[in-house]
Amino acid sequence: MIVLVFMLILFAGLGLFLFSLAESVSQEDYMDLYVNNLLLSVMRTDTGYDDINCKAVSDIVACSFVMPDWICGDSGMRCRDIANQSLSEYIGAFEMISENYRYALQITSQGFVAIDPVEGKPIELVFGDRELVNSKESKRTANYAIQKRLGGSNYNLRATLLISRRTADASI
Amino acid sequence: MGVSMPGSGWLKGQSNIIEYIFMTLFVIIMIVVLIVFISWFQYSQIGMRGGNLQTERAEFLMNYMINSPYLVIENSMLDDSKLTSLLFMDDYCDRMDGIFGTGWSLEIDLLTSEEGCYGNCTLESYPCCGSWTFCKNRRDFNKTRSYVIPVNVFRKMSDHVELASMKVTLYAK
Repeated sequence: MIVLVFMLILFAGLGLFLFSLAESVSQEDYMDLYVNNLLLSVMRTDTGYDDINCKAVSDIVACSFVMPDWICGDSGMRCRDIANQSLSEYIGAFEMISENYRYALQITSQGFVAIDPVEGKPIELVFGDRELVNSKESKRTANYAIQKRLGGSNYNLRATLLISRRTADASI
Repeated sequence: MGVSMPGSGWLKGQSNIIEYIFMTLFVIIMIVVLIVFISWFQYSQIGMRGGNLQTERAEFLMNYMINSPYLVIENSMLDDSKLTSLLFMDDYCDRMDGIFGTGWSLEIDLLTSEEGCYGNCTLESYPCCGSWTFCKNRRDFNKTRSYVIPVNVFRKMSDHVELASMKVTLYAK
């Protein structure tokens, strides 16, 4: 009986040792490349407006933060509305993100504080799934620096893209 | 003391033999299980290692493409004129096989187009086109995995930056 127990422990130990050496499928680097390129590419994409404040997605994101009521060209649409629409359309164009992930794009100021004239609080601009910003689930992030000259002043902004798998238990 | 039950020695001997047979069977079964387990473990490890190597290969290919000065105007922004001219180089697949090895293909598809041009790029269709395919449909290969990353394509004629996807497919013989 003692021999039996001893052998069982031996085999279980061997099994655990082998599992500890096991190599798992790793797509970390690929996912980092994907998320960074997603943010970079979306930010540089032209929106179709010739207005200097609305030309690329990074321009309308900056415009949304600094001059949210600016009307882009002859469209009659505000920067913030176009930013919402463009980001949703462009990020949603990638099946992997639209089908499997939630995303949020958070815009924060760097080196200055922008105050909302109506609410009197610092402006916090989030596109996409706002709940993702404060949630504790595992997320993957990418950052992009936006430097714009709007209304005669220079502004430094940071865009942070957060993505997380739709199913709570799945790893990102 | 000194009194023994009839046949008890025989019974004890029989139980020892049964125990011996049982132990031997157990050890044999455990050894077989161990062999099966280690074989399965090795097999699954080789599969995973192969998958990781393929991912690394695809990453190398994509990183090369989005940083090569022969194809981009800046990091991750491909130049449509350079992509189109590459299609008309002689033996460009064989030349690129020298860098990436055999068994791969590359597709770049526009996701936005201000001019509404999404068709396959050829010498005739350029600049109103939005899809570039390199080294596809080569013989003796079976498709294994595809990897996609977002990129930009700079439209030289209209001076626009469009959103696109770059898909790398790896093949095995």
